[in-house]
Amino acid sequence: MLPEACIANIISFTSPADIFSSSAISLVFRLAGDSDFVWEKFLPSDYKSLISRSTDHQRSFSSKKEIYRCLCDSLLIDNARKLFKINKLSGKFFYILSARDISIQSNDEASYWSWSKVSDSRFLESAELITTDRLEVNGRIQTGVLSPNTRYGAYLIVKVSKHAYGLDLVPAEVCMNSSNGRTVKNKVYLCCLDEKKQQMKRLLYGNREERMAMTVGMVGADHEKRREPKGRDDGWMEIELGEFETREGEDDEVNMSLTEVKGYQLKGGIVIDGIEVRPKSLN
Amino acid sequence: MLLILSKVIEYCKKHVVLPDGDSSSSSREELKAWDAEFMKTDQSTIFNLILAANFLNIKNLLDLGCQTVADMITENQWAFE
Repeated sequence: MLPEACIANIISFTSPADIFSSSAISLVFRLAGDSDFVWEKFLPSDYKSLISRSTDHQRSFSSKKEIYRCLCDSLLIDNARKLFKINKLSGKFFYILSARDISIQSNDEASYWSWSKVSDSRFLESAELITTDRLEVNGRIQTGVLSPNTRYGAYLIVKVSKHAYGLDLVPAEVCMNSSNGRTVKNKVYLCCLDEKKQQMKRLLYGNREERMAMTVGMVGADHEKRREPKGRDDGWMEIELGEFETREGEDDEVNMSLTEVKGYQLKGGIVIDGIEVRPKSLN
Repeated sequence: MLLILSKVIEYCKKHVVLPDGDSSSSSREELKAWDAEFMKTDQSTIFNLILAANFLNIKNLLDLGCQTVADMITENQWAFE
């Protein structure tokens, strides 16, 4: 039969999911599946730098497989402003940029935004909007730190507090812009439709809403096409900002933004935890 | 064994890199297609090719053989013999 080194070479071309399941075949597969040679291929090329920038930088590891497992449990890096994680079975990388790591207009003005620890947030602070008429959120990421040849989606992680206002009048504009020149824009509402509230509003403010919808070009858009935040497993909601593809050997800067500046109405009550960049489909 | 050695020689002849840096007449796509055809054989030949490439230290052939087997594992066609 094939020697351990050849088996290790073979399984290094498969996926972590296949490696974990093939470890049950025989002792040779298990030894190959535990080897540093195999796991080195699934670690990000900058893994040493990621560990040194993390909150856990003193930790020592006995094998590359152990490093892989640690990165699958997620790592807070750069003074806990970013979170890096590897999906255990597919080996794909994801990042979550905290609200402190992205650029939020007027975020340091205490009358516009308040910063505090939200109970189910993964970061030390999230930003809650007190009031503003211009909402502008921008994040950026280099494609070189992500998995190559993968379609990624960027999602703004939010919650809408009970005393929110002004969020459902006009949709926000989301935009993805990469340094290779591609720009994609879209429109999405900041909160989900509340039917009862909508009926009341139509009675009282019908005309005003139509006029506002015209300012952002939403005339004729029917209910089915309304893009809204979607629920997540961690108790937060997410707003899709867009998607982009990474290519092997390329390192482009991708800018992701959400703006709501055309409505002019005051809005408040949206809590931002950060922007998640994750592969679009995980098999 | 003679069959394996002749296949290894056939592979090496196809993949020769000329002194001026260009690979022998075929383009990259043609070479990939040729490699795919070359690997369309029974499992025991593939394993023997991997063993031979490992022993003779022919990295490209070793990686080609291992990638072929890996693709079979991923597609669940593997039946461990």
